[in-house]
Amino acid sequence: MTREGLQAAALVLATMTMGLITGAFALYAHTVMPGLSDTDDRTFVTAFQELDRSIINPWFMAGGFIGALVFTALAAGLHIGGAARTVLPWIVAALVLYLIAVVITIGVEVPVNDDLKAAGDPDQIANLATVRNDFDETTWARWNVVRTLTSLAAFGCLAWSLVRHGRVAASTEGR
Amino acid sequence: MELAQGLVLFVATLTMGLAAGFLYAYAHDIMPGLGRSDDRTFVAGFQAVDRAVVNPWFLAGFLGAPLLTGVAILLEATDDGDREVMWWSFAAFVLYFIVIAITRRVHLPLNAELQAAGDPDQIADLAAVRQRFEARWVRWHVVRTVANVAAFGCLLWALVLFGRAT
Repeated sequence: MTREGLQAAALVLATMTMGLITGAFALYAHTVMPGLSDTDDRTFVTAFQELDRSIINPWFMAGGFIGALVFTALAAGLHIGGAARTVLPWIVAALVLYLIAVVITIGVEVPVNDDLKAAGDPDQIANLATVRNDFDETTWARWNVVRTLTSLAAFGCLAWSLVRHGRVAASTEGR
Repeated sequence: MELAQGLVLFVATLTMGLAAGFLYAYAHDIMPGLGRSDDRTFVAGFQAVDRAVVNPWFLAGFLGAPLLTGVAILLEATDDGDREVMWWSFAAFVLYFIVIAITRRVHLPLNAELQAAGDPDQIADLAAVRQRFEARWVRWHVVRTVANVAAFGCLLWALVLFGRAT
């Protein structure tokens, strides 16, 4: 595969995984959290625990959360130097914006997710309302909106860099 | 013209990506997660999430994707359009049409049936309600997710070709 082909492949994969992870964050923002917030404490705790357990799966990790980071970094590395460097600022911007989402995830969301799971089987929890209250779904949802927006911006930067990449490729081929 | 073509294709790709990510997350997270829950949590959880899904953000993606892709095709079909971009956009449109067809034939009726079962605390046989719903829903969901991700991929490639042509 030519260098241009590698660049295009990495950039398409980066944009695809970034779009998929942004869609997942957005789903939690506009549907899952508003939906579960209307449910009783037992349904809320049980459902969130199970959703959080099942999200640690290879499709999510490779095809979204980690994949977006790795493919974007790879696309950035492949666009260093040469005519392709004009695309680089857009990919780097995407990487920085997505890093904010990763930091929010690991720094804010994962610790409270783990606490909720550590509360154990909902049928054995004495005070479900306290557990739900400690989880603080309002704060969780607020930070989720922030990471959704930075991921969406990263997704936009990558989609635009696909156009820029095409332009550079065409000009270096003398088309 | 080129600005309009680029802008429409760009926003079409973003909405298509959000729609694909939405279905993809249901496939690998929501359904397996609720799938491991007891019958009451499954029914109550799905009902609540399904009630919340009819919101402007979701509809913007679900309906915006085919609408904008359709406009992108029309703009590329003009004299100063690019035929390759047009065909890749058309492929995305056809694939997304499959998503809509499956959603209307399979998922919307099943969702309506689950809502019609009413308050989970009043349902006599939760297991039966769940059984009529879950397996068929999930099976067809995998098909529409694959079609939607493929449609998204077609638009990503259309963006590269658009860059090459302009």
